[in-house]
Order: sequence, then C-alpha cells, then structure tokens
Amino acid sequence: MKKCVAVLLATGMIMMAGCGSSEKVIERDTATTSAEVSSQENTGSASEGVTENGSVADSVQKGYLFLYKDVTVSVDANMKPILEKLGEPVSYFEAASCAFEGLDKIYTYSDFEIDTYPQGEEDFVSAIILKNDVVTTAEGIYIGCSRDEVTAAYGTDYSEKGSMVVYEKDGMKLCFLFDNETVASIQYFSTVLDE
Amino acid sequence: MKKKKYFRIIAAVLIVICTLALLQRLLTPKYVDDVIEGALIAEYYDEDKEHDVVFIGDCEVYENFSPAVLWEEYGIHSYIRGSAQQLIWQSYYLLEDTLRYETPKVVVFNVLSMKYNEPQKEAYNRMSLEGMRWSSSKVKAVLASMTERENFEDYLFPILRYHSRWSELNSGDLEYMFQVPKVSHSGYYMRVDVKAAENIPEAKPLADYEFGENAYFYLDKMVQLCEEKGIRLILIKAPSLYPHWYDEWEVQMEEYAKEHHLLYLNFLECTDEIGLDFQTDTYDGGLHLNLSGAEKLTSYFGQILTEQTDVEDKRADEKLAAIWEQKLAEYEKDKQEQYIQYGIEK
Amino acid sequence: MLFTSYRFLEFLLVLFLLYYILPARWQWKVLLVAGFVFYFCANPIYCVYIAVTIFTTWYAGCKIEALREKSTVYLQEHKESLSKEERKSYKAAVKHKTWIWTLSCLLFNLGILAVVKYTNFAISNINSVMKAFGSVGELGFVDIIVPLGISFYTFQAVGYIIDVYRGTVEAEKNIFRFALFVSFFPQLVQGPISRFGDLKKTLFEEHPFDKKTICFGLQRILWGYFKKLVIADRILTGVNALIHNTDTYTGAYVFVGMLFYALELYADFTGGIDITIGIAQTMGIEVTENFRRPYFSKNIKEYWNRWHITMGSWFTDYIFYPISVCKPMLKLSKFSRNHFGEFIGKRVPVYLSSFVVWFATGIWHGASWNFIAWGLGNWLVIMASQELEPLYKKFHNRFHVEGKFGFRLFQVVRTVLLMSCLRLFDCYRDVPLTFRMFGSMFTAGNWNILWNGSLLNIGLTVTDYCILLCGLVLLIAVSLLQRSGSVREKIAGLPFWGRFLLWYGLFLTVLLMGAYGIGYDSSQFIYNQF
Repeated sequence: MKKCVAVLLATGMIMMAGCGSSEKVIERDTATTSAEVSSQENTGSASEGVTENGSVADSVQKGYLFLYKDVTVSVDANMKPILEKLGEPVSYFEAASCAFEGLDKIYTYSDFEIDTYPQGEEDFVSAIILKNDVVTTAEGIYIGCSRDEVTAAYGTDYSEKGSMVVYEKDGMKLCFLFDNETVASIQYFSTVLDE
Repeated sequence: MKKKKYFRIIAAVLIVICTLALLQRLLTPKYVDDVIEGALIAEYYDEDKEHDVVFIGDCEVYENFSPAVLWEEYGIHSYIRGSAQQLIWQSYYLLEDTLRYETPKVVVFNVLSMKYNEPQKEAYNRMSLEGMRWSSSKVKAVLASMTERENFEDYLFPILRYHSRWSELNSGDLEYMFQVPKVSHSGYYMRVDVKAAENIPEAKPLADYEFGENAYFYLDKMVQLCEEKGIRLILIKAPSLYPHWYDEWEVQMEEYAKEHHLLYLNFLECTDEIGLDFQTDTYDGGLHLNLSGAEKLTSYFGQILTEQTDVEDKRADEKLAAIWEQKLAEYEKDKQEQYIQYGIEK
Repeated sequence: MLFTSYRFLEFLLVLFLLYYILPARWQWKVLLVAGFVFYFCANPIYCVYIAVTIFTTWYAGCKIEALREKSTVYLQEHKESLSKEERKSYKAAVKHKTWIWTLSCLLFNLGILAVVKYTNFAISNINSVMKAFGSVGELGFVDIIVPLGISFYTFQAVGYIIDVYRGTVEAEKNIFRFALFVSFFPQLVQGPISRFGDLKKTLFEEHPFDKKTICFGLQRILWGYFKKLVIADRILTGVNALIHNTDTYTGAYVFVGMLFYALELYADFTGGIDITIGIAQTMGIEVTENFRRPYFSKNIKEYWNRWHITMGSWFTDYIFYPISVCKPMLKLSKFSRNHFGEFIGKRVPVYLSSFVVWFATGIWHGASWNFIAWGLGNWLVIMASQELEPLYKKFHNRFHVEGKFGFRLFQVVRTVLLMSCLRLFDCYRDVPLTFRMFGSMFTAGNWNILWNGSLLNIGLTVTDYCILLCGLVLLIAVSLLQRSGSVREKIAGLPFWGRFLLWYGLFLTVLLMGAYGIGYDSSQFIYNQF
C-alpha cells in the first residue's frame, strides 16, 4: 500500500495537468516556413487512416495575383524583391504593433498600396489594395466594373459580408466592395495573421 | 510506523505543490525588461484604491493619458486600467473587477475597441487577463475572450501555457520571480522619444461600418453597471491618427452617447485646442502620444473633468499628497532617465 | 476528445470518481454510458453507426445461439428416432442456417466499413481507369463521414460473430453488455482489437478500489503520455517537414525521415496503447497487450508477432486460417501439387492466403494504393525470408554467429531498417514518389547533412534533439529492463523517496517537455506573432 503513495501523488496530477490540442501547426517562425505543415490527426493515425499529405505552399505566388507592369505581387510573398522591382513608393508608413516588436509596413504607390507583416528578419505581403481604375486584377477586374463582370471573371463561389464579396483561394482572400452594383474597392488579404 | 507514513505523504504533497508553484512562477513571463505592457493589469492591486477617475481601454488610454498630470494640475486621483488591444468585454470585466475594490466617481472608456466584435489574438488576451486576480469577473472575462484554440485550463494553470519556456529563461525570470518592479505610472506607460507622424495611409474601405452586436452588448452593460453604481461614464476617442477612426463609427458613437446621455469626447476633433503637434508629440508616427503629447492631452482633459464632473481637488488630502509625492518623484526620475536614454536634452 | 486534450483528462477524472463512488454493480453501466458520451462528443452521428453495428451483431449472435440451442434440444429429444444420417443432415442444416446469419452479419457490417472508408478510393480508381480509356466524364467524390475508430470496432464485432459461429464463445444475451464490449471507449479509437472471450473476463465484473492496480494503471498512463507528448509530438515537426517537402528533402534526408518516422510511429502508437491499457487498468479491466518490444525483433515475421499484436492475430485467425482451409483452396492445393509437384504445390496455398492477408492488412490501414503497396511489400519480404531460410541456416552453421550479441544486434538493426523502408509508403503522397524518394537515398550523396547542421532547419532545435535523444535512451533502457519483468513492479520495490523521485520526475518531464499547447514555445507567441 505504501508503495503507491508517491505514485498516486505524481500521477494524480495528470488529471489537472494536460496536454494541448493535437493540431500542431508549426508557428510561422520556425525554420520550416515554406511548408504549411499540417498535422496528422493523432488518434489512431499511427495505425489507421491515410497520412495527410501537406501541400508545399509556394512562398512566392499563391491565390489570386496582382500584376503591375511586369511585377507580380502575391500575398505572403517576400516584399524585398517586389520592392526592388517596384521602386520607391510615393509614401511609406510604419505601424508598430502595440506591445510587440516588429513593424507592419505600408507602401503606397500612386495606384495601389501594399501592406506587409514582419516575419523573422523579413517582411511579407499582408494586403494589396487597388486605389483607382488604372490598375486591374490579374483577371482584368478594376474599380468601376459591374457585379456581373466580377462573377464572370471569378465565378459564383464567394461569400458575402455586407456589401463585400469575398473570394478565397489557397488561404488568401480577394475582396470586392460594391457601391451601387459597381466595384468600389479591390483588396487582397493574407489569412496568415488570422487566428 | 503509521505516523511515519502520514508524515511522508504530507511531505510529498507539500513538495509537489511547492515545486509546481515555484515552476509556474519561474516560467510565467514577467514583462519587466521587455513587452512591459503585459505587467500593467497586475500593478493595480498594489495601489491605494480611492481613485476618483479610472480609465479603461486599450493602448490609447495607457499611452495617451498621464495621471501624474491630473494630480499635479487638478488634484485628481486617477488610475489607468489599460492593456494592449484590450477588447471591450475585457474592459467591462476589468471595470467589474475594479468595482470590487473601489467605486470611482468617473470611469473613462476609450471606444476604439468597439471595432472588435470577436476574440482576436491569444497573445493580447494573455496580457490583458493574466494580471487579473481571480474572481468571477476574471472567469467571465477569460471565457468571453478565448480564441478557438485556447483553453480555460491554460489560464487556470499558466504553467500549462508556458511549460516550454524553460529553454529561454533569462536572469530577469529569476530576479523578478517573487517581486516584480513597477513598470507604469498609475497605469501610464511613459515614452519620451519622438517620431513624427508622416504619410498616414489612407483608410481602407470596409465591408461593414456598423459596430458589432457583441460590442454594443458590452457597452450597454458598461453603461448599466455605471448607472447602478452611480458612476459617471465618459466615452472618449483618443487622438491617435492610426488605426483610422471612420466617420461612420463617429456617427454611431455620437448617437449612442446622445441616446444614453453620456459625455462623448472625440479628441481627434480638437487636436488644435489641445495643442498637439504630431511632429513632436508622438513617438511612433501618430499611433500613440509621447510624454509631451500625453501631458498636453491630459491637461486638456483634466480641465473638462474639473468643469463637467464632480471630481474634487484632493491636493489637500495629506495621505494622498504623500502617495503622490512619491509617485511624482518616480515619474520625474523615469522621465530624466529616458531623456538620457534617447539623447534628448531638456 | 483526443487523448491529449484537457477535456479528455477531465472526462476521465469524472468517470473515475463515478466508477468508484457509485455501487460496484453499476460499474460496467457507467462505462457503457461513458463510451457513448465519448463517441457523442466526437460526433453525434457516430453513435448511430456504432449502434447499428452493435444491434446487428448482437442480434445475429443471439439467433445463432438460439438455433444451436434449439438443435441440441431437438437432437436430445429425438435421440432414438433419428438415424445417423438424419442427424448428420439435420446438423448440417442448422450449421448452414447459422452460417447464413454469420455471413449476413459479416457482409452487412463489413459493407458499412467498405462504403464509408473505401467509396472515394474506388471512385478515384474508376475515374483513372475511365480516363485511361479516353472517357472525359468523371465521377464526383461523395462526402461520407467516417466514424472514429470504425475499423477497430467493426473488427471486434466481426471477430465476435465468427467466434460465436465457431462456438468458441457463447453469444451475449444482454445487448447492453455486448454494447459495452464494442464501445469500450479507451480502445475505441486505436485498438487494441479485443476478443470478446478475453475482455469479458474482467469487463463486467465488479471491481473494488484496489490501490495497487489503480497506481499501476496511472503509471502506465503517465508513461504513455511521456511517449506521446515528449517524443512523438516533438519529433512530429521534423517528420512533417521532411516528408512533405519532397523537392528539398531527398537522399540522406529520406533516410533521416525514415528513422524519425519509425521513432514517431512507435512512440505515438505504443504511447496511445499504454494510455488505453492504463485507463482500463485503473478500472480493473485487463486489455490484451498490443506490443512486445517490437523493435527488438530479429526478423520481420517475429516483428509482426510483436507489433500491433491484436491486429496480426485477428488477421491470422479470421482470414488466414479460414482461407487456408477453405474448400477451393484445398482443391487448388491438390491441383497444383498434382501438376507442379510437391515444392510448388506446398507453397501455393500459403502464398495465396498470406497474399490476401497482407492485401487486407494494407487496405485496412487506409484507403490508398500506398497502403496496399506497403502491405504487399511486407508480404514479399516475409515470403522471401521464408524461402531464404535454408540459406540463412547454412550461413549460421558455417560461421557460428547464431546467438552471438553482435549478430543479434545486426539482426535487430536490419529488421528495424527493413520495416522503416517499407513504411516509406506510409509517408509519401503516392507509390511512384515513394520509389523515387527511396531511390534518391542511393544517388543523392548528400550525407554531409547529417553533420553540417542542416538538420537544424527542419523545425527541430538543438534542445529538441537533446530531449529526443534522452527520450530515446530512456525508451531503450525501459525496454531492456522490461525483458526481465514488469518495470513498474521493480520500481514498486524501491524505497518511498526513490519511487517518488522517479514518478514525480517523469510527471515533470511530461509537463515541461511535452510538446503540447499553443505553439511549441511561448517566446514565439510573445515576440513573433506580428
């Protein structure tokens, strides 16, 4: 009987101690950023079920793209090469996050704006916002297009939020904001920062 | 024999409890040398609690208002219960928590957090909630704030959350294990450096400008709680240039205040009267004010408090005067140290 | 409710208290309710599936038993009046009837398993075939919920009905008791696959509060969590990085990934089983062991007798033997013996039966060609080693190596490597890719990654490697100790403070070094989320 006392004490605490969820998505900053590593559902995975094959996320281009002259901009792409090609922005702004190190950066060009988030030493595109009808999406939609033109280009598989139409692809969002049935704003968003 | 057995059991239990408690203390972040925003909420409990004015809200309160100025210029005894990205339900429960200790005459709430209708980031939740003492308010605050991947158990036993921090412990973790030094001045986070506000980006159009139901729900609760306790609630919008405060939001707040007979002050609309110069009065390009900006804003707001509410000048109160004498000394010391740190001559 | 969630631990705590506070005669009922609560929490629909399996199997079992009882009575009553021939034909008729019940039950339940698990696999194969024949149309995939652990509980139910048919166990008349056998929650998600005859010995008994059993159970659970959280979930990061980036991680990385996966799988699976058996033990229930230090096996055949034992024995008892002795097989055996001689004739039935078994084992693991290839790979290796047996014997006799430590070690390492190679099918997306990756080990020539620090770029830090190494050493040490009897018994013989230190130490190790919770390290969460 005595033998078990220590054991009871120690193991009894497993009851309150614990073990988190099995979803083990590797945090953005670990070395394997190129892989969106998805976990195997652990229960029984060892013995049953197909091992999930995680897709290797292309860090350069994903989802819907924005083409400006000969530069391709994609959310979650490294900003450095893009910045080199686009040249100095018209205006540049840094926003420190409350209580955290690292800066969100906003590069404003005459026809569009690119926002970035920091990851390690580098910055990655978090959003692209088209500001006028001089620029278009890769699929040819620009501010002023009609709702029909948007659905013709992107299909009907979208979700609606107020007057905004959201298309999702490869973990990014392309949003069209309508004003009286014409496109009033076009925004590309990364979903990496969504919790 | 039996006696010895019981003794051993008790000893083992004690060892287990003590080591776990110590480990938890050791592994929990102290927020002293860096990210000091995480330490703000807990500091309140060590204060003398007879405040006339309590601020609640996000960084727009704890970086933009200086209770020291309110005391020096108006004799108002105030405290800021602010934390980074404090969501409105957290503000509400922090108010509930505060009311367990005292009933101030005025509560000031910064309305920027109305824009969030759902739980946001775990990291901010931690900083706003961890410092709270346990009470039903804290339980409710945690439950209202948790994102999908969070667990209540992690708040109950923070060691579960921080269990793997052992690999990056530093000397600070040992040094501040039992005693954490003060990092704020009655909840105010002082910064004296300057970074002019330039190139504030245009506001992005939003899909929906209507504040969420959940946000309104807690604002209603806040109004109700203040009414019940006979507290004057003042809504404010601090004069931060970024994140953008939309006109549509402004209209909603103005209407809300009118409907509930509340005083609502949008300081963005009176930056000139306050005398704010965003070339010199902000330390991060317009997001937050620096000391010079905060002192100007506080001075302006103190005038309003004195004129429009029944808060009194308590400078004659000996006990408070003594407390503030010490606080002001620390305030001055921090100020001077920062001037040297940032190479600013004053 | 995953085994590694707080919710599960809280569920266990409540269950444990109820189990011992309520009157002992209610214990098995508490477990039954718990099983359904557990399953309901995962998805309410699952309960329907398992209830259908429970009811049909129970009903078929009762029917078979009733038929048999009736026939015994009938034969008893008409002992005198029936001729030997008549008795024989009557018996055959009854047997046929029971066979019909058994077969319907089997087809129905295996049918459910096949539909939910293999429909989409079948559709994708049909599509490929159609495409090969130039068809442009494609069948759409269907959205079917696969109930948690369906392979496990279906196999338990199927095993039961065959046992009843064979007369090795008596059919359970009480549907609730039978329901508990099928839905016993600790083993619902990952086995072991228990036999009714084994489990019923302790499942329905009243269990008084026995300190030693409960302690041992808790110790086993703790050890299971150590394997799962400290080792398996920690190395998971590295394994995922290695096997998902097939462009980058070739050659020596494949080798590393293969070994890492061997460790992860072992720690994950045996850890889970330790938790299962431990939970059962805290409630006084004995569940069949599923592993016996499999990585110490000297050949593949032995390995399969020591790894996932209950599955292996299930396939042997319910597939291998019936096929080996069924009429067509005996005929085939006779035919081949007559036509191809003794050598081939003897082998045909064995080869064929084991082929079926390994094909089934493969596809049971998952609906994909990878698993089928993996199963058949095992079959090939086992058959080859059987054929080479005489050659080995010669070699052993010639060099007198048998039984020598060095040679035994070689055999163990060889078996581990061979099994790890086969398991590559489990890692990579498809069969051709698996072969390519395997081949790259011999051509890439990037073995310098083993020491040039490249392995620090797969999401594992130096600290992680240290923990894993220590964990591995502990695993091996415990396995070595186990050979001479229960490690828990040995520890129980230590003085109080020694035991305290060991178990509390293990608890703290799991608590602090377990890879659980949000992110692996909190500094990331503080600094890097923006």
